[in-house]
Amino acid sequence: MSVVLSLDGVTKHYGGVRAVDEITATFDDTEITAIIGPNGAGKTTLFSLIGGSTKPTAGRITFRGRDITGRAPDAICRHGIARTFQIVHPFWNLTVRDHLRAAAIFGGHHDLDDRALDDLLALTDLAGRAGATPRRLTLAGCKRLEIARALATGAMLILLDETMAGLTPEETREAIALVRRIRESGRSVILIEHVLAAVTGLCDRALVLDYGRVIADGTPAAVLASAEVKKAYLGE
Amino acid sequence: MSTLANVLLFGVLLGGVYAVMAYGLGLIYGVMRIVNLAHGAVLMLGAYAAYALNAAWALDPLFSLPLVLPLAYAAGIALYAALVRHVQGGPPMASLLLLFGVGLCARNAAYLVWTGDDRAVTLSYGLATVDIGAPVPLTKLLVFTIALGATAAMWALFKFTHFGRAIRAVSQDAFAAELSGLDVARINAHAFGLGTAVGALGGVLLSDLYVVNPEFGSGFLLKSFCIIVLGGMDSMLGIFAGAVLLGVAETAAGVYGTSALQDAVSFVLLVTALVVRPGGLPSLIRS
Amino acid sequence: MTNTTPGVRRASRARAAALAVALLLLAAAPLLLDTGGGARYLVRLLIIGLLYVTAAVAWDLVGGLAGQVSFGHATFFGVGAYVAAILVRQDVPIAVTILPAAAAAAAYAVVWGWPCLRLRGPFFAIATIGVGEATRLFALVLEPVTGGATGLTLPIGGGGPATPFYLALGLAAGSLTISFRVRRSRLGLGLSCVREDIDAAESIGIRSGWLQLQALMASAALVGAAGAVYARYLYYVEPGDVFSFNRSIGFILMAIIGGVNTLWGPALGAALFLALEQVLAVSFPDFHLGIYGLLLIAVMRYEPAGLLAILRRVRARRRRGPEATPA
Repeated sequence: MSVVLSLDGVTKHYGGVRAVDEITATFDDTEITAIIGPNGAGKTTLFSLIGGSTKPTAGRITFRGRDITGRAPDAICRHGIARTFQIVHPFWNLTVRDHLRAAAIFGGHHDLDDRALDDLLALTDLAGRAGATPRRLTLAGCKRLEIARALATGAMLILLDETMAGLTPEETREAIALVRRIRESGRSVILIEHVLAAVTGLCDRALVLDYGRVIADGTPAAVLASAEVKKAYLGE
Repeated sequence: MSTLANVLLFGVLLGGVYAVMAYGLGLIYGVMRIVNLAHGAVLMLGAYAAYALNAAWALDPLFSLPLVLPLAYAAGIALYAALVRHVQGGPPMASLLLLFGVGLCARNAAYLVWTGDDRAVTLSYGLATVDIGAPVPLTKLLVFTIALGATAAMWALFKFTHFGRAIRAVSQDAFAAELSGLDVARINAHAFGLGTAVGALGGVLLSDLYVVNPEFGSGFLLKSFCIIVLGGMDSMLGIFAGAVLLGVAETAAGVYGTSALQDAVSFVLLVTALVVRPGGLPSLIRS
Repeated sequence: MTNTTPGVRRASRARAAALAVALLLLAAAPLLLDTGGGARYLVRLLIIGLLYVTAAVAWDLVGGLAGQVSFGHATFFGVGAYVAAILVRQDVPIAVTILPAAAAAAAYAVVWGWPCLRLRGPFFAIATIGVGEATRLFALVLEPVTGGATGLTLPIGGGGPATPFYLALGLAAGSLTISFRVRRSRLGLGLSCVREDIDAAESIGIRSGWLQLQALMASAALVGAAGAVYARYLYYVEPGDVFSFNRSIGFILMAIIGGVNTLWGPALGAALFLALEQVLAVSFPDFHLGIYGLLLIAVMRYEPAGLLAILRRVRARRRRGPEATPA
C-alpha cells in the first residue's frame, strides 16, 4: 500500500496559540481516515494547512511524493487534493452543471462531457438536478454538490469537513454509502467528523487530535476505547 | 524644539482628530461588515452644520455639538431603517453602492445650500497660540482634547455599558448574539446611529481646522479608510494608533517634502497597508 | 430534443436586431454627417453614446462578471486619451493610435490591478478610489508629458466626425462581442465562480488573481481605446475631464442601472445615462449628483438587477397575459 499523504512535524502558530502542534502522520492510498477530537483541537486548521488556504509555521506536507508545503490552494487542487467545507460554500447563482464543469476544467484540465457529468451526478445522488442552482437543493443536496464538485476536479485525495453535520439519520446513511463509493473509485478520503456512527461504521482508521497534537492513532474501536481519548473529550 | 519633535507633536495632535474621524467608519464595519461610503458625506455635513451655526449665531463649533450629535444619531438610525437594513444581508456591492448614492445626494444638497465656495468658521480665539515648548494654536489643542475625551467616552461605552457590550457581541458573532437573545436589528440601527454621530463629531472638529466645501468629504473618506485598514478594523486602540501614524506621516511629508506629497501620503499608506498587511498594525504586533 | 431553447432563440433574435440597428446607423451616418447644425448634435450624441456603450460593457466584465466593483476605470480612459493625444500631436493618424492606447491602458491595469485585485470586494473598491485619485494627481504633476492642469490640445484637421464615428461604432461592436465571447468561455465560467465564492473557486483549482487580472486587462484595453477616440473627437484632453472621479462613477451607473453582469444591460444603461446627462444639463444642471445618487439608491434598494430585469418582467407578464385569464 503506497503512502499518498505524509505530514512531517506540521505546526501552525497563531501568536501564542499552537493550533496545530508538530503533527506527524502518513495516510495510505484508498484509506478512509477519520480525524476526530474535541472542538478547537485543530482539525479544520489541519485541513486548511493541507488544502493550502493557510501556510504552516513549520513542518512539511508531501503528497504523492511531491512537497506541497505552503503552496496556494489552487495549485494544491491541481496536484490532486480537493476539499469540502464545514459550512457549505456553493456557487449560489450557478447551476450544478456549471459547478462540475468549472471543477473539471480548472482542477482537472479538461471539460466535462455529458457522460462524465451523468456519472458524477449518479454517484452523488444528484441525477436530474444538473440545471438547478444551490438554492433549490436541500442542505444535504448542497453537501453532495460540494462532494461532486471536489470529485469533478479529478482529485485523488478528498478532504471532507464535517459532511454529516446537520443530516437526518437517513441522509447520514446515504452519505456513508457515498464515501464508500468514493473509496471504491480508487480515491483516498480523510474526514473530520463528530458523528461517531460514521467514524466507527465507515473508517479504517481514526486520528484523535487534542490541542493540536495527535493523542491516538489506530482503528476506530481501539481509539474510542482509549482512556486518554475519553479524557480529552470529557475532561477530568 | 527640534523639527522632529515638532513633527511628532503636531502629528499626534492631528492624529487625535483623525482617530475620531475614523471611529464611525470602523464601528459600522465592525458591527455590520458594511463599508460606509457615505461616511465622507457625514463628515462633510457635520462640518457644514458647525459652519452654519457659527455663521448664523456665532456659535463656537465645540458648543454646537449638543445640537449636532443627537441630530446625527437620529439621522443615522433613520437612514438605517429606511435603506440600509434592506440591503444588509445581501451582496456587499448593494450596500456599498447604496451608501455611495446617499453620499452623492448629500454632496448635491451641500452644493445647493452652500455652493461650492470654501466656507470657514470664525473663531474669536482663532489666532491664539499656547506655548508648550513650541507655539501651538489653541484650536488644535482644544480639538485634540475633545478628541481624547471622545475616545475615552467610547472606550468606556464599550467596556462598561450594556449597550456597548451588546455591540461587541454582535461584532464578534451576530448569529450567536441573536441566539443569546439580543435584538440584533435594533443594535445594528443604534450602531449605525452612533457611527453617524461620531462621524459628525469628527466633521465638527475638522471644521475648526480646515475650510469646508462639498468635496471636503472625499479626501477625508480616503484618510478614514487608510486609518481603518492600518488600525485593523475592529480595535479602537488600533484605530487610534493608525490615526496617529497617519497624522505624523502627513505632518512629516508637509515639513520635509511638498504639499502634493502630503495628499499622496494617505493613499500610499492605504494601498501599501491593504496589500502588504490587510490585518493592519495589530496583526503586525500579533505575529 | 430541440437544440434551440427559447433563451437561445431570443438571444439570436436580439443579435439580429442589434446587427440591423448597427447597419442602419452605418447607412444613415453619411447622411447625418454631411448636413450641418442639428445633425451635428445628433452625431455628437451618437459618438459619445457609442463610447459610453464601449466603456460600460467593458466595465461590467470586471464589476459584474468578476464581481469586483471598480471606482477607478477613468484611469484607463485617461491613459488611452493621453496616449492618443501625444501620438496625434506627433502626426500619427488616430486609427493607428487605438492599439497603443489600448495597450497602455492594459499595462496600467497590470500595474495597479496586480496588487489590488487580491483584495476582497469593498476593499478593492476603496483601493480603486485611491488609485483614481492618485492617477489624476500624477497627470497634474507630470506636466512635461501631460501638460499639467491645462492638458493637451490635438491638432485639428483630418476630416470631420466621420472617423471618430466609425471608430466608436467599431469599438462598441467590439466591446459587445468580447463580452459575449468571454461570458461563454472558460474564462467567464471561472470568473463567475470567483465572483460567487473566491475560496471555493480556489479550492477547485481556479487561479483567481490571474483570471481577474485578465478581465481587468481586457476591460482596460477597451476603455482605453474609447478614451483615445474621445480625445480625437474633442481635440482636447485634460485631467479634470478624462481622469475625473465623476467619469468613473458614470461607468458604474451605466452598468448598474442597465443591468449589471449581463451582455446588454450596460449598453442599455449607457444609452439611458447619455439621455439623462443631456436632460440634466439642460433642465437640472445643479442636480447631477443627486439624481445619480437617487438612481443608485433606487436600483440597489428595489431592483439590483437593473432596468433589463424590469423590462424582462414586463415582457414576461405581457406574454403570459392572454393565457393567464381564468375561464
